[in-house]
Amino acid sequence: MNKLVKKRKKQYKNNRYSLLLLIMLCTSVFSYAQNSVKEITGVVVDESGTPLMGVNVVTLNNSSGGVTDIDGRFSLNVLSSTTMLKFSFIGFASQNIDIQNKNEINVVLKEDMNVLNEVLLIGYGSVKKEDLTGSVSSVDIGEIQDKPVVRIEQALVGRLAGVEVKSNSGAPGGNTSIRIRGANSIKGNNQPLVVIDGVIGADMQLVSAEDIKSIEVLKDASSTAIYGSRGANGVIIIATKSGEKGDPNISFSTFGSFSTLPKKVDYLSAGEFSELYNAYDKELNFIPGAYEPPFSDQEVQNYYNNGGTNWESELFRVAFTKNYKVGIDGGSDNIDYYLSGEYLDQEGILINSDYERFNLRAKLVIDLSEKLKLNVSLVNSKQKGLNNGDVGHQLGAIGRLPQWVATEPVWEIQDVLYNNTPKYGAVSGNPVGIQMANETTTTTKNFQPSVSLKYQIHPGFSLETQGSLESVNQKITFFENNELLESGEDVISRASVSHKDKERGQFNFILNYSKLFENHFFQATGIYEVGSYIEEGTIASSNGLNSPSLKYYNLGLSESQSVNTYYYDEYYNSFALRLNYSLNNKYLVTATVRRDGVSKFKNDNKYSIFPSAAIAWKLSEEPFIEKLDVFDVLKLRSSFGYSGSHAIGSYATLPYFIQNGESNYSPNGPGTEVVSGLGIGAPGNEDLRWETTRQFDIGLEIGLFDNNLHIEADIYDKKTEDLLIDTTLPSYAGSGTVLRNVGEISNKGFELSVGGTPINKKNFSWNTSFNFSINKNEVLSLGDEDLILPTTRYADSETPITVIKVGEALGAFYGYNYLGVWKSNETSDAAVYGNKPGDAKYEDVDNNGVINSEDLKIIGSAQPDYIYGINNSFKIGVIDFSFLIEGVKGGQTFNGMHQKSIGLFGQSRAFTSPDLFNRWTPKNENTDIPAFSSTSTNIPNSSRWLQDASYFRFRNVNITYNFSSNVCSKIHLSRLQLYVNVENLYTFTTYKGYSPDISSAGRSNGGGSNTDVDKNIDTGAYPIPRTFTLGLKLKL
Amino acid sequence: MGVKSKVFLGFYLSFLMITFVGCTDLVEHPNGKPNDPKLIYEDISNLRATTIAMYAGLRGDASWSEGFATSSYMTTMYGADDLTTQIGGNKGNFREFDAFNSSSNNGAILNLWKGCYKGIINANAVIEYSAFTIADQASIDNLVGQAYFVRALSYFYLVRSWGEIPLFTDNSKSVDIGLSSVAEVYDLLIQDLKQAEVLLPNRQVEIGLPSKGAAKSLLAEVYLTQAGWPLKITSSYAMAAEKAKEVIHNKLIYGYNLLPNFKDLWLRVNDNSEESIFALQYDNRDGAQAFHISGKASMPEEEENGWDDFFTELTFFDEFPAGARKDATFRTEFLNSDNQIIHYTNSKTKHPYYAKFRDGAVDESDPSGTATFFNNAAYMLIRYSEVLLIYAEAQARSKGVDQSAYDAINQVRQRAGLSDLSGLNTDDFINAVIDEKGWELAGEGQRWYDLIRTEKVAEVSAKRSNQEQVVIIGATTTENYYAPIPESEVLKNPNLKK
Repeated sequence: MNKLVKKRKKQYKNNRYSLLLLIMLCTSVFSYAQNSVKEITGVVVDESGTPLMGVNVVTLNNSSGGVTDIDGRFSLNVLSSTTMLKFSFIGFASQNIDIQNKNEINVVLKEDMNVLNEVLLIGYGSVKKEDLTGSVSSVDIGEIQDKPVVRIEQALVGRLAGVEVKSNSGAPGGNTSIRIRGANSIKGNNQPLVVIDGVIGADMQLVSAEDIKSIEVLKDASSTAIYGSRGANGVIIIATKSGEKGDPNISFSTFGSFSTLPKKVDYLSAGEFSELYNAYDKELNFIPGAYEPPFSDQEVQNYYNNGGTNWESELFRVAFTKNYKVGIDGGSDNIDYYLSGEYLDQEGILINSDYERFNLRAKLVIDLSEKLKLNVSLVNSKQKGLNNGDVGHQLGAIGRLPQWVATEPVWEIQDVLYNNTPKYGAVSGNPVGIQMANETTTTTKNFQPSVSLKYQIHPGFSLETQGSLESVNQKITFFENNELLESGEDVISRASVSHKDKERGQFNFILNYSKLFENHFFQATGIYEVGSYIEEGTIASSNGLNSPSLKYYNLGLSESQSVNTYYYDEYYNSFALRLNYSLNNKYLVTATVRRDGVSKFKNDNKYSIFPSAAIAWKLSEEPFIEKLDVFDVLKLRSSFGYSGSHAIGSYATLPYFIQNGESNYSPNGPGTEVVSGLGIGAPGNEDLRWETTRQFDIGLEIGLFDNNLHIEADIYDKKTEDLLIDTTLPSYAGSGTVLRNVGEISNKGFELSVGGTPINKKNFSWNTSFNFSINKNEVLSLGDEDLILPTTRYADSETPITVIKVGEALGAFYGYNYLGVWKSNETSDAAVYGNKPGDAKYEDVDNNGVINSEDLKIIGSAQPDYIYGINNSFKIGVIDFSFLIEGVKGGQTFNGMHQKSIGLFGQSRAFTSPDLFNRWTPKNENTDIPAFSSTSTNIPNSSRWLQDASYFRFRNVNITYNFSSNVCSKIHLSRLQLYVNVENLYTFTTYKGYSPDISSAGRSNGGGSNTDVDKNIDTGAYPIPRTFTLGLKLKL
Repeated sequence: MGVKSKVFLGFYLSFLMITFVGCTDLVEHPNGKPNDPKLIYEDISNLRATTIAMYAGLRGDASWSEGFATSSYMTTMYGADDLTTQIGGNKGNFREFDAFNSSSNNGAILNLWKGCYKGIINANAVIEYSAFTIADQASIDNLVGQAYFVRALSYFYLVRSWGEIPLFTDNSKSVDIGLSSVAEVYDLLIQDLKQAEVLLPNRQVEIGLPSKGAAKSLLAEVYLTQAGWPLKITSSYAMAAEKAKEVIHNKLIYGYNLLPNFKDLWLRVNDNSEESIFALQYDNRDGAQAFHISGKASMPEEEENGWDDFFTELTFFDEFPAGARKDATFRTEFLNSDNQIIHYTNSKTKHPYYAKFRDGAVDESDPSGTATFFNNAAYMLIRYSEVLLIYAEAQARSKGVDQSAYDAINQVRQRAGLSDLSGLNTDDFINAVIDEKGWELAGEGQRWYDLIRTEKVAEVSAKRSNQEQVVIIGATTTENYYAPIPESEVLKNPNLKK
C-alpha cells in the first residue's frame, strides 16, 4: 500500500504542473458577502496517515472552497447553513462529509482505482480523463505487462475501440498495421503517429512492455490536431517509466516459448497427386492410339506407400523464443533513475528465419533547482533479423509452396537442392531452396538520446524545451547461394551489402500558461518545433562470387561488382497553439491550431494550417443529474477539426529515374563490360500538396455503480481531401507511377467500449471489458477518374485483384465473377464462349458473348463489417486468469495460395489441391470445380479465389500464479510470479488458408502489406504462429 | 520572479523569436534539387546511360514479364506454322494464339508490348534530352541515331502485332492518348529510320549497337511490310528494294556478310558476327539475367526435362527442304535421362524441336542433365540473309524477277544446301522467297509477320496436321491477324478500346 501511495505521489510530482491547473480548475474562490459565516478547519491525510497537499475542499453548492496546504491543512469560511463538504483529490475517491456543526474535521481519503480519474497524456501535455474534450483511449498497462509481450503493437490487438491492429506477417519482427478509425489515405501507410516520451515518430520496437507507464491513443480531430500534418491517422502516445524515489527496485523476468504452425493446409500426397495427374493427362491430352499414363500403376502405388515430400512440414518448424529482462530503478531527493535491459531471441516458424533484439533504456530525472528540472534519457537498441523481411510475397518460399507437388524431392543430391525444372508443379523455386539459398539479414542499431529541461517560471507559467535525436544505423546483407540449388561450374551466386544511416532530429519549445479567474479557467499551450530527417546509404553488390563460402565478406572476389549511393533529406517547421477554457468545471472548450511547413512540397504548398475545436459538457456536475444519483460520470463531448498528411517521398515533386541491374546492358556483346543504364521512370508533379482530413466526432461517457461500470461511445465522420494517389502509367508511357492529389475518402464509424468490475471481493475479482467498432470506408471521388488500378500485381495476373473505385471501400476486389462450371444441359450456351460442360463459367456482364475486360466488376471487399474484442480477467486468490477474444465479421480475403494449389497458373504446371478430386465430370455435375479441360479458362483475378475473412479468435489465454508474500519473503523477494500463456490459441473461421487476417501484398518489411488498397491478399504471407509460453517474474 | 529567472526567460524568448522568424528558410533543401534532367543530361555519359536503358528495356528481364528475353515475346506469333506448344501445363497463353482464340487478358502478350514501349520511352528521352548535352556533335548524333533506330524497331514490332497502337513520342505529353492508325505509325517509323540513317555511323565501335546499315536494313523491311497487308502501299516495294540494295552493295563498308555454315550461326563465338545486323545482348551479369529462348524453352519436357515452350508444327517440318539447314534447324532425337535416344515420333509431344540458340546453354552429350534456362547470348533480330530475301522479294514485286533477285535468294539457298532457283514466273518466285524466308528464319519470330503481310494465314493454317494437339478454334481471317490491346492497358486508359 505504502508503495502505491508513493507511486501516486510520484505521479503527482511528475505532473505537478497539470495538477496545479486541475486544482485551480476545481476550486472556486469567490465568496458571498454573508453575515452568518463560520470557519471550518481540518487535516486531510491518506490511508497511511500521510498529509495530502492540494486536496480540493468545497461546499456542496460550490459557494465556497479551498485547497489543503503542504501539511494537509485547510481552512474554509462557509455559511452557517452548510452541512456537507466535498473533498476531492486526484487519484483518490471523492468524499462528501457531514460537518455536523463541528468546526474541525479530519478526513482520510481513500485511494481511487477508478480509471476515469486518471491523468492521460495528450499531445504536449496531460489532462484528467474527466476533463477531456476529445476522444482518447487508454490502454490498461497492467493487462499487457502480465503477458509475454514481444511487440507492443500486438499487445494492443482487440483491446481498444476504433483501433484495428493486424499482424500482416507472422515473421519474427515482422510488421503490423494499425488503423485508427479506418484508412484515410491511399498512398500513405495510414499508420498512426507514435510519440514516445515526446519523441515524434519513434519506433515501438525499441520499448519493452515492462518499461511502459502508459499508452494513450488519440483518435479525434481535436486531440490529434496538435500534431497537425502528422496527426491524420491518429496518434499513439507512450510514456515510459521513471525511477521511484527510495531504495533500488530490482526486477527480473524471463520467458521461454515455442511456436508452431497454427493450422495445416491440406495438400495432395504423392500418391494422390500421381493418381490425379494421370487423370489430368488422360482427360486433357488427345492422343490417338494406345495410351500410357505418366505414372504407372506401380509408381502410383509406391507413392501411396512411401509418401513423397510434405513440403509444408519441410518448410515449417517448431520455433523457440527466449527473453530476459532486468530492471533497476530508484531515487534520492533530487535524482530519480531508471535502467532496464532486455534480450530477445526469437526463431521463426519458417525455417531459416529468426530475430534477435537487445534493448537498453536509461532515464534520469534531476531536480536542478526547485523550479528547474532536467530529464535525460538514452535508448540503445540492436535488432538483427534473418529472412524475416521480404519472405511473404508470392514468389517467396511460402508463396511457392502450393505449386510444389509431393512427388518432387527436396534434395537432388547431397548438399544440392532439387531445383530448376521439376517435372510437375512449379518451373522453379523449390520452397526449401528459396528459403535456404537466400539469406537476408537486417541489423539495425538505434541510438536515441533525448534531453528536456523544464522551467517553472511562475505558478501556472512554465517553459519546457526538448531536444532529441534518433540515429539509426542499418546494415542489410543479401546472399544468394545458388550452389545449393544447382551443381556445375556455371552456377552464379550473388551477394550484396547495404548500409543506411538515418538521422531524425527534433527540437521544440513548449510554453504553458494557465489562469483561474473566478469560475473561468484558461489554459494556453504554445509550441514551436523544428525537425529534420536525413537518410543516406551505400549499396555494394556483386555477381558471380568466386566462392560462396565468402558470402558478402569479400565482394571484390567475383565476376562483377557494382556500387551505388543515395541521399535524401526532409525539413519540418511548425508552430502550434492550444487554448482550453472551462466554465464552472462543467463546460469545457478546447481550440487548437497548428501551422506546418515541410520541405517535400514546392512553393506555396510548403505550409498548411490545421485548426480544430472541441466542446464538452459534464452533465454529471449539473445539480439535476446529481440529484438522480445514478451517474458518477455523464459527459457529452463533440469535436471538429482538420489534420493532415504528407506521405510522399522527399523529392516526390521531381521526376525519377530507374537505376538497377535490369537497366544495365553490354553494348559490346555478351561477356564484355556491363554498362550501367539510366532508365526513365515517371515524370514528377510540382503541384503536389497536403492531404487533409476533416473529422467530426460526438462522444458520450457514462460511469455507473460507483464507476464500476463505464461506457464510452463515439460516432465520427471523417473526410480526407486532396488524396495523394499514385496513378499507374500505362506501360506505353513508362511502367512507373505519377503521384497526384485527387479524390476524397470518407470514413464514418461508431465505436463502443464497455468495461467494469462486476465482482470485486478479496479472494475473487472479475474484470471484463468489451469493445466494438464499425467503420465504413468509401472512396467519394477520384478526380476525373472513376477507377484507379493499384500498381501491384498478384498471382500471375496482369491486372490487379483490387481496385480503387468511386463508391467502394479501399480494398475492393475487382475481377471476373466466377459462376461455377457449365453444366451438361448448358452445352449450347457454353459453346458461345468456346467452352464445353465442365469448363469454368464467368459472368458475362455486358452479355456480348465474350468474356473480356468489359466484364470486370467489383467482386468483394476486404473491409470488415465490424471488429470486436472481449477481455476477461479473474483474480482467484493467488491465481490470475485472463483471456482475450478478438474477432472480425465480414470482408473477404483473396486466397492466392488456394488459387496456386488448384494450379496451372503462370509458372505452375500441376496442382496440389485435393479439391480437384471433386472436379466436374459427367458423373459429378454438382460441383464448382471445373474439369480438366483445355478449353476451360482459369482466370487468376476472379471471385473464385475470394473467401470469407470473418473470424473469432482466442487471441490470448494467460494463467499466472502469484507466490504469497510469505513464500516471497522466505526467499527474500518482494514478488514472484509464474505464468503460462498461449497466444493465438485457436481461430474459428471458414477461411481455407493459414489465417484470414494476414496479408502478403506488397513487398514491405515482413512481407506484409501496409497499404489499404491491397489489404487481405494472401499469396504466401508468413502465418501467425500459435505460441506457448512459460514465464517467470520476480522483484527483489 | 528573480533577476536570474528574468534573464533566463529573456534568453529563451529571444531564441524562440529568432528561430521562428527564420523559419521559412528551415524547410528548404540545402543541397539543391536532385533529379533535374537539365543537370543530369549535360554530361554525355548520362545520355549514353539512357540509351543503355533503352536496349535493356527491349532485352527484357528474367521474370517473363517484359522484353525479348523469353519465348513469351513470340506469343502474338504462335498462329504461324513454325510455332506451336504443348497442350497442357502453363502454356495457355501461347495456345490461345496458336488456336486463333486470343484474349485481351493474355498476360504473355505484355512481354513484347512492354519491352518495346520501354525501348520507346527511353528513346524518347534520349531524343528530347540530347538538347541539354554538351559534347562533340558526332557523339551526340550517334546516340540520338540509336534512339531513332530503337524507337522505329519497337514501333515496327508493335504495329505488326497489334495494328492500331498508342503512338507515344513525347514523354512530357499527356498519357491519355488514343490509338493511332497503322498508317500514322508507319509514317513515324519511316521518319525515324531516315533520321537514324543519317545520324548513325557506318560501323559502331561497340559491336552490339546498330549502325547506318542496320537502319537501312530495317527501313527495307519496313517498306516491304508497308507494301503488304493492311496498307498495301505497293509503291513501297521499290523503296524496299532500293534500301536493301544499298545494304547489299555496301556490305563491305558496313561489315556484313553471310557466314559460310548455317549451323555456326548461333555459336557463342559468332555472337555479333558479320551476319548479325542487329542483335540484343544478353549477359548474365547485368541484373536481368535473361536469355530464356536458349535452353529449356525449346526442349521436350518429358524426355529432356525442358519446358515445351515452343517447337515446330509438323507440316512446316515436313515441307522444310532437307539439307544442311534443316539438320541445323531441328532436333529430331532426344536423349532422355535413362540415356535412351528417343525419336520425335515416339516422344510425348511427337514433334521435332528447334536446334538453334542452344550453344552455351546445353551440353549436347547430356541435355537433360545440364541444360540451363538462361545463358549469355546475342539474339539476332535482323540478319544479313534476311536482307537478301527482302531484296529478292521487293525487287521481284517492283521490277520483276531479274538476275539480281535470283542472286540474292540463291546465296541463301546455297548455304542452306539447296540448289539454285531459276526460270520462275514472278508469282512463283515471290512464293518461293516467302517460303525460303520461313525456312531460313524458322523459330525466329518472323514467319507470322510474313504470313499476315501476304495474307497467307488461312492458306497455311489449312494445312495444319491433324496430329497437332492445339486445334484451331477461331477464324484464320484478317480479323484474327492482330492481337487485342492488353486488358491492363485498356483499364489504365479506356481511350485504347478498339
